[in-house]
Amino acid sequence: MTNRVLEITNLNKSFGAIHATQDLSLTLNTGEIHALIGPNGAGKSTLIQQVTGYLQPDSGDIQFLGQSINHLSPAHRAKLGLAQTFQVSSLIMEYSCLQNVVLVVQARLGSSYRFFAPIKNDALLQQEAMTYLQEVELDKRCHIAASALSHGERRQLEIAMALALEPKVFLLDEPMAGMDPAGVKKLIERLKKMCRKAPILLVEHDMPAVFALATRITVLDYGRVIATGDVESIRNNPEVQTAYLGVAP
Amino acid sequence: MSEKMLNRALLSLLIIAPWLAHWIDEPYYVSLATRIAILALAGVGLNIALGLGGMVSFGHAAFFGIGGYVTGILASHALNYEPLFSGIFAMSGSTQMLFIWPIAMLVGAIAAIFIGLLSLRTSGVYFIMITLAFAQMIYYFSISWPNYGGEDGLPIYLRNSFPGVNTLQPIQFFMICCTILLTTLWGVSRLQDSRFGNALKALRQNETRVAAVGISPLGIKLAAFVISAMITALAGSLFADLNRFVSPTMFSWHTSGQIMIFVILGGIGRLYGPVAGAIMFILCEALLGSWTEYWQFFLGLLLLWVVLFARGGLIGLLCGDKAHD
Repeated sequence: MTNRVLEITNLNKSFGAIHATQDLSLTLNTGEIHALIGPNGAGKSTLIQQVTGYLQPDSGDIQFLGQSINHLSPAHRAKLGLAQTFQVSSLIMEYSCLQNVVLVVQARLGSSYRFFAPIKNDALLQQEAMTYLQEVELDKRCHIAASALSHGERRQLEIAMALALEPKVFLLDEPMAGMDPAGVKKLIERLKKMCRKAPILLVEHDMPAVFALATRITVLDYGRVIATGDVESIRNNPEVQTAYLGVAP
Repeated sequence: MSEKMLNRALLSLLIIAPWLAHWIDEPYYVSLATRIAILALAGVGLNIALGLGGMVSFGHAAFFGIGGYVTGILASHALNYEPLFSGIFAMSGSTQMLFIWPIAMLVGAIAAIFIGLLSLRTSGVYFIMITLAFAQMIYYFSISWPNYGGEDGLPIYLRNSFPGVNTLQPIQFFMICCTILLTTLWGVSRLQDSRFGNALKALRQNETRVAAVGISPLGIKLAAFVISAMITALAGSLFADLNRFVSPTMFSWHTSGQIMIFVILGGIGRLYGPVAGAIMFILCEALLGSWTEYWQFFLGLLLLWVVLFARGGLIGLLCGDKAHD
């Protein structure tokens, strides 16, 4: 039990007649990349939003490091160590790359109520933020506004911001979406490194990437888990093949 | 033109003009400049909520009026030698600005905490409407409360005093107001570049992202709203002393709108925006107002033009877009 970082038990969420999450249970252990796959509308994003706190489950429990986090706000959960990247890049668009990461570092340090000292003169804060940009190879673009970045660079910045939180769990919602093959390849290597820092719950459609990365895979369909297991068992699971991989039964 | 140069030019204009007026013995222009300084201060307050935080408060008249009424009420009690309230301990009025200002700001802050906690849970049009509703509630309350003049307002027979200064002399009172404006501008310039300012400006752009990195949006917004209200309350206190009169008009939505116009005319989110805006507004009123009583029609045209073609206000028009780093 000690290595169980995230534990979701019997989670339910409905939107009217649509049962988006049905009796869903899931765990994430230290050191692993747990991939969450399923066709569009399977309830992956709904699940992620319940974990991050933007949606309240109807019933069930989410435990993070042995503590129930159901009643906590998204900000509070992030502070405990839940870092997320968004399916559609969500950045502070007028800020430079560096300023985006500085914001995360100051959030982690819990020092957002300092009213007087200019951050420009805060070399430590700037340097620390810079190390995360170096990690994703954005350091040369550090003074470019986020709005001027390319799609791929925005995805990189999202990763840098997740890293800067020094989290206990990464929740990555389709990090590969819209990336070119070279970018995907790089990102796969990066995620392999990241999971040594903290386990990753990965929502992804890029199947080769998922098969290359995942320690475990959980397949969702109509809001319920239809299979969970290691890469081989999922690849050979007939139910998964019909529901998702598009192989005729 | 660089923004720094324009800011300096605006300040020099604001400081030199009343001295010239003073030397040629035209006290009217000194008090005009004083009005500009005070209203600019109110705008600087609103600009923290509106410009930095993106909170479109249409109820800042509430804080402006609170500052005014605190000043009027304290002064009238002091002049009548009646304690403000008595019971276990008594509090008497005061005619000392140095005592009145903190009280005005404190009462403004308390009101802002209350209003902020209720209204900051909403956003967009609802936030505008709730802040307006609170200000209007206080407005109607001030009209119907007979103790302090009700609809007729409350005169302050003698301008409150400041140690070592003859506040009744226009140029000296102007210097007090101008010093406060300068100090506040300096403070806000520090605030907007601080960690707090960093979080606040980020919130305006992307609240979800800020929450996702672990900064609670409500706390930051509330703190900004309270600071904003305190500055506007201080401006209200000075405004009461300038006119030696407070009336429910200070609470009316016209006042909220006027403060917002200063910010928009000058440039939303620009440090000196409200200063530029207040200068333009008051000069329009004084120059066009002496020519036609329909001067507000032309102000409307000007505002329309700014909103359509010069989003950054006067400062944006002259200095271009804001620099990033």
